[in-house]
Amino acid sequence: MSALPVLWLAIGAGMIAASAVSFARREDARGLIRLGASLAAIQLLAPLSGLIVAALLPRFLGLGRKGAAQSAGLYALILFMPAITALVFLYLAQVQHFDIPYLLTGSPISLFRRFLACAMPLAMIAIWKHGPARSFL
Amino acid sequence: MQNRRVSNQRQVFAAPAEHLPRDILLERSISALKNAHPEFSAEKTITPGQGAVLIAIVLVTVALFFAAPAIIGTLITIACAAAYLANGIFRALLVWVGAGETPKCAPPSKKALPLYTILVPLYREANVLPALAEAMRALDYPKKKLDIKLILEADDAETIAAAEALDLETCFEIIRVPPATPRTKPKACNYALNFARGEYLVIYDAEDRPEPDQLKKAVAAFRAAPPQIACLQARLNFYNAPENFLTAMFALDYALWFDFLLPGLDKLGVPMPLGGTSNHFRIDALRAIHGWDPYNVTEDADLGIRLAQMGYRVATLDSTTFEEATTDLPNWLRQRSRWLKGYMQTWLVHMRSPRGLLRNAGLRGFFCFQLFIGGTILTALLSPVLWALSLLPLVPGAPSLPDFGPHFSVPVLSLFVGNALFTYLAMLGPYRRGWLSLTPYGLAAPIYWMLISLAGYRGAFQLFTRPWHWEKTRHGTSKMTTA
Repeated sequence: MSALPVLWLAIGAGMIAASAVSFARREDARGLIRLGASLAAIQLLAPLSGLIVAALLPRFLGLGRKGAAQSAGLYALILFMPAITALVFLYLAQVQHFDIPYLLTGSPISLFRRFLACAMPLAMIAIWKHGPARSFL
Repeated sequence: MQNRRVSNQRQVFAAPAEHLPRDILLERSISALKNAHPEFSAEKTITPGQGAVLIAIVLVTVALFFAAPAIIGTLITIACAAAYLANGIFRALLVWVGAGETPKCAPPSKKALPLYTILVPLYREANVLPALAEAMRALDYPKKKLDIKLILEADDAETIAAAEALDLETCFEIIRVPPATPRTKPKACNYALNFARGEYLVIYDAEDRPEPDQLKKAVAAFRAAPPQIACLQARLNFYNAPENFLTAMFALDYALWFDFLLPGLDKLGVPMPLGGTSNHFRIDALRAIHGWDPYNVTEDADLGIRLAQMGYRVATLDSTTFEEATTDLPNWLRQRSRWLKGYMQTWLVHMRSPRGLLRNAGLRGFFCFQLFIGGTILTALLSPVLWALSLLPLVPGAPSLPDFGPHFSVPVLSLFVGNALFTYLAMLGPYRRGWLSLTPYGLAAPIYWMLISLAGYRGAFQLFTRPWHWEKTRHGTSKMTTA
């Protein structure tokens, strides 16, 4: 990976971490929209990794505790924007042949690196919720 | 300037007029608005000027289409898609603005509570009267300061008999509206307004269950608000939301509308169409603008815009009234057709003088009116067009893809992005109430919008055939109401 995509990934991961922690604290509608939007934005850089992170994030945030139907609703809300964004980019790339950089390309190692970058917010949230670095966040 | 205007009107229109003969009161309830401000009356659906503009637009478009079908077809397609997307983006903006914090007012002291009039229009709804009486009794407000008017049609013997049989307390009064056309809810409310004694007034539907502290919250909000705030719109939702698919979708619709979109309009300070019931008024302001338009079948939406045109403002009230969602499709279709027809009436009435609207509502208010009222109508009517344009190439023998040129993907993409946006907003609607179990229903929103489109075309047809016809919504059909 060259420097620019790494920088974008770092910014994207930071946005996810910030919005996720903010949402976990206040659980307000704007926080939810911000979180969905940041997860959607990361789709441009690393669709598959971003989707995995989006799927894992509610569990890491400890949000799925309000009964099955309520949890399903919250998961649907958090995952909707990233899922739709991934579909749109896929459509633009595959059907309309738009040139979207970094989309579904690269070697397995570079894909793994992207996943690690995207998973950074999960690690930070885990530290925020359970570790001594809470004040840092 | 606005302050002085509000204050003068208050002095002139404050007194009730119940001493006048009934036929004069009836005539006033029908004609007061159209006599004083014919430009705001929906008695005439389209003015000759509007008709001429409409015909000219259609003729020019058809002529141009025959002259250059590919270019004009592409332009129309792009315009439809852009209008659809613009409406979605505007609603997303309103949701963002409306999602912010709402300031809270301190509750007023018991001694400071004024007389409050409650209007409840009923027609052939004897079955919901006991529940209504209970809901009114449950209000946390001194009974001696309540002035509750049950507004019944004089020829509705069954409901009158049922109301009299309930042996209601003295704060209840039955108002019999003499039969006269138009037979609409706003005309009945105008008639009852003559008898209202309160400083403030609220209108509820027969099956409404307002939160007990709603009147106190309204008093506190009015006292804290500037005099330009003539009306507070409380939030509405349904107590029978989980009853079936239709009621769940309706609840999502209402949650988005009342919990996000209207607060968004409030925070932007632009004209707000009132919704259904639980509209709290300063009664002098309501009299000053001659009450409701008896010829408009969404008199509430029209009233919100007319208040803005006459120098007032509407704000939202953080209190909920729970209603009964219609449980069956024919009833829902009748209700939604009427709403969309009324929105068309409202748009046409307030666009009779676009300059006047621009002057009274300001540039931001003017555009928000176009996007919110016009956008609601357009989205309902355009959705099937975009679906048809998107699916046309799949039909054997239909024009092939190149006929649409390189812009073919515009309707497909705008339909997809627009639907995705609307779906997300529908899913987000119940979040504020914590009704997350309803959120997955939002994924079925495109199906619900097809029904709305059907209602839109039905409403458009009725606009020209029976513009004032009031398709009555049957209440008391939910198991949860009768229980």
